[in-house]
Amino acid sequence: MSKKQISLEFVVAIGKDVVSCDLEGEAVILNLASGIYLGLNEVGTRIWSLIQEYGALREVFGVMQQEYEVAPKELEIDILQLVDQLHANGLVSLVQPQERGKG
Amino acid sequence: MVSRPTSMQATLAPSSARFSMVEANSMPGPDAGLTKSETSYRYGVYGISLCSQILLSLPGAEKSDLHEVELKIGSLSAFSDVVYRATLKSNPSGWGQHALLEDGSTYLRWPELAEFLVSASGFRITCGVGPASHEAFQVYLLGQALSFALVKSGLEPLHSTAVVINGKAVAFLGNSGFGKSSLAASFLEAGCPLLTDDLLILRQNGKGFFGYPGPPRIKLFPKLAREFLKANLGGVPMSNGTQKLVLRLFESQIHQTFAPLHSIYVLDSPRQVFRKQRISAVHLRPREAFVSLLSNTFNRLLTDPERLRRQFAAATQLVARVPVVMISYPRILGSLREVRELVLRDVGGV
Repeated sequence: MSKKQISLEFVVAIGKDVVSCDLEGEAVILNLASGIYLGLNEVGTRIWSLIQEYGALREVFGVMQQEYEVAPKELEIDILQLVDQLHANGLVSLVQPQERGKG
Repeated sequence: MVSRPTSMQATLAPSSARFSMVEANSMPGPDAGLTKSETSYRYGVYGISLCSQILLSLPGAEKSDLHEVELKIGSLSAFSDVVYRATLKSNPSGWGQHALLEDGSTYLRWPELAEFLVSASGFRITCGVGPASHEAFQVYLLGQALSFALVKSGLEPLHSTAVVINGKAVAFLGNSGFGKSSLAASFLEAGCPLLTDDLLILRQNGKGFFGYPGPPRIKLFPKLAREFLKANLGGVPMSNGTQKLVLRLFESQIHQTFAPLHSIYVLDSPRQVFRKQRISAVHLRPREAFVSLLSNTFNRLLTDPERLRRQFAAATQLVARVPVVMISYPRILGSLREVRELVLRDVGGV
């Protein structure tokens, strides 16, 4: 897949070969197919749990905005950077806005 | 194959009901007519049972419900056929080669020393013996080769050396060359017995995690052997790839049964520590501990999803129940005893 310009309109799907656990508020995510694992801090762990729950980044953004005192642009950048990292490590796949309409 | 646990104990243990050593170089090679022998010996190590055609320096074990691995002496033709079909790759350590075969079995070879064929199920290891010492052969059999059988059987070995302090196991985790055995030797000097050197098998029950005893020997550089184990002179060179000696341990120096795991110490890389740096011990957060455990698994060649899932689950359980400490210290002789005292205080051994 070519490098995508991710936006909050994307939906994130967690790979079927991906498992994760929550260790006292910090998640570790493992791709069983590649063996790559990633550790997340508390904020990253909250974003990960919301991705698991909603998938749609706009929803994730909305909940995070309610829970954290942070400038919207800063929050958006944080979410998109994390999703980019998850995607680069094969832990999630991304559905683009136009692809969602085709479903 | 005929199992003779009772008579085997008598044969192996003239002076002890449980334990004895076999002389080095006493094992017949594959051409010595034993290939078709029905003789077998039963040993216990890492909490499993070995049913072996080969005499080993291990405690005897009676037949039980323990997981069992069969050790057979292979014919030269069996190995040459495998080598002909396989694509050999160098081991990550740079010493020896391996091949993951299409039928799920694994071929391992250390030139001049040994070769092994581990079955897909992990229930059988076929062994070929090189001209090196029997002690060196056993190091590779009971370490690298057996680790494949353990993993294939659903067990998860850690790259760890462990000692027992007041009945509690303390595990040292770290890559090769990080000083696990050296640190353990300092505990032997203080009278704390060795549980295992290099490969640790843990099992969990309702009361926690328990570590199981490995072979009753330790691998050490000569300088450290002279420093800490003056009574254990006469070690055997391990292989051409290292100056380390294989030193047999006396009964009083080994812990012969499983022990509850008290704590895990992750040894910081020697390259990260300066010679004049102070010793430090930092309790790792669960996520850091988790990653340390995954990084210190024994045998990184088997990476199938089932194993990774098992590792993930095991590490999750382990960090929830056992404290994991990162310890940094300069790799100079004097610091080993200081680290030992620090650990003893932590565990409540002094």
